[in-house]
Amino acid sequence: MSGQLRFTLLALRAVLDVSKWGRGAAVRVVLDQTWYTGVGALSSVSLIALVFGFLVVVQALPAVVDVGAHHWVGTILVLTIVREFGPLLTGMVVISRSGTAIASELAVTKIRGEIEVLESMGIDPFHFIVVPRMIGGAIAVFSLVLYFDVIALLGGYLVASPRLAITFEAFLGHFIDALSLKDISLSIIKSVIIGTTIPLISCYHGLVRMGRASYEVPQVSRDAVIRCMFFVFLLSALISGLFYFSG
Amino acid sequence: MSDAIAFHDVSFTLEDRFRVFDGLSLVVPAGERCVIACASGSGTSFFGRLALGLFRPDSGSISVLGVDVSSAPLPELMLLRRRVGFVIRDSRLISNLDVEHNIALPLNYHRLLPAEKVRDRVEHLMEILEIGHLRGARPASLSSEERMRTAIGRSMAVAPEVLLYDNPLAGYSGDIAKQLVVSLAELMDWTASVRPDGRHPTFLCAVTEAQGFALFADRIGRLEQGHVVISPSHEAVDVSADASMKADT
Repeated sequence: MSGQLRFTLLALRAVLDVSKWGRGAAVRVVLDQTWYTGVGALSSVSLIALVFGFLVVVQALPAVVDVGAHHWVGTILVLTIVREFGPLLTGMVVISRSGTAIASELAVTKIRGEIEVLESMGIDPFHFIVVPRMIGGAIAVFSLVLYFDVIALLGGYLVASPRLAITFEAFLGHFIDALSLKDISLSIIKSVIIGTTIPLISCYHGLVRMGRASYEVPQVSRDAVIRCMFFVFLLSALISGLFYFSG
Repeated sequence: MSDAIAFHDVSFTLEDRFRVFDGLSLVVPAGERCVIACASGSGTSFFGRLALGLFRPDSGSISVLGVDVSSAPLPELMLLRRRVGFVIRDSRLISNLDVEHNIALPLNYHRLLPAEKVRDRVEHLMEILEIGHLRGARPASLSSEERMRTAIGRSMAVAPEVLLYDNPLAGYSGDIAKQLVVSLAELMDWTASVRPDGRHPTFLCAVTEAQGFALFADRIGRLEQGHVVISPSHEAVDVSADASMKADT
C-alpha cells in the first residue's frame, strides 16, 4: 500500500504541474482516454441506468402510492441515483472496461520496454501516461454520471407513468424539486474523484506492480480491478459521510 | 575538441549478478563517431543506458555534454535526454502511435518547434529514411527494418547533440545494413545543417558486429572483459567482435 501512496503523491505532484498539461502529445492521450472511457461505455451505462431507474421506481412505487405521496418518487430517485448509485454503478462499469484496459495495456507497454524509451527521450511517464489518463477519466466519468442520471430518470418514468398517470414534465418536476445544490455538488465531486482514482490505481498496477513476465499481465489487471472496487466503494462512502453527517 | 561523452573507471553490475563493466574508461570527443564492438551479451545494451542515466554505475563517473549522469538528479537528466538521440536494438516504437507520430513524439512533447515546422521536419526525416509511404502505419504492421528506420528518425527528430545507438544493424543482411548506414550518414549531415552551431552529433554505438560501420566510424574499439580497448584508427583494427584489438588507448 505504501507503493500506491507514493505513486499517488507523485501523480498529484504531476497533476499540480499545470505547465506540462498542454503538451501536444499528452493532450492526444487525454482525448483518447476520454473517448475510450466515456463514449465507449455509453451502451453499458445506458442499459444499467435504464434497468436501475426502472427497478428503483418499481420497488418504491407501492409504498408511495399507499401513502398517497407521489412526489416522493422524485426524492427517492435523487437519494438513490444522484447521490449514491449513479457515481457508484458508473464507476463499476468504468472499472470493468477501462480499469482493466489501462492496467493490461501499461503492463504490456512496460514489458515491451516502451516506458524506458519514453524516459530516454526525457518524457516523464507521469506527465505522458498517468496524468492524461486521470484527466480523461475524470471528464469521462463526470459525463457518464450525468448521462446515467438522465437515463435512470427515463427508466423510472417508464414505470411511474402508467401507474401514476403522470406526465414526464410533472415527473421531472418532482425530481427537480427534490434535487438540491448539495446533491449536485456531491455527484460532481464523487464522479471526479472516482474518475481519477480508477486510472490512478490501474496505472500503478500496470507500471509499478508489473514485473517482466507476460503471465503477470492478467494478475496485475485482476489486482487493479479489486483495488479499484475497494477504493471506489470506500471513497463513495467517505464522501457521502462527509457531506451528510457534517451538516 | 571538448569531450561529449566520458566514462571514467566505470564499473557496473546488473542485478548484483552480472558484471557488465569493470573499470571501463572511454572518452568520445564532440563530433566523433565511435563504435564499440562487444561480444554478444557482453554489454552492448548498457553504454547508452548508462550514458542516459537509465542505470547508475556501481562506481566511477559518466559525463555526457558536461552533465555528470552518474550523480545528476532526475530533472537534470530529463533535460539532458532532450539533447540526446537513443536507439535500441529492437527499435521499441510506441505501439499505439503511427510512424509519423512516433518520429514527432519528442518534438511534440517537448514543444521544441511550432506544429507546422514539426510536420516539415518529420516529412523530411521520413523522406531521407524512405518511409514516407508508411506515415500512418502502426509499428505492429511494419517490418523490423521499417521499425528501425522509424526509430532512427525519432532519434534524429530533435537534431541531437549526441546519438547513442545499441546494435542498430543486428540481424540485418549486408545490403540492408549498408542502406541503414548510408541513411544514418545523410541524417547526421542534415542534423548539422539544422543545428544552430552547425556541428555534427557525437555518435557512440555499441555493436556485436562492427563491419557495417567500417567506413562510417572515426574510431572502432572493442569491449574486452569489461574494459574498452580502442584504436585511434580503425584501419589498425579487425572490426569483428571475435577478433582481438591491435592497439590500446
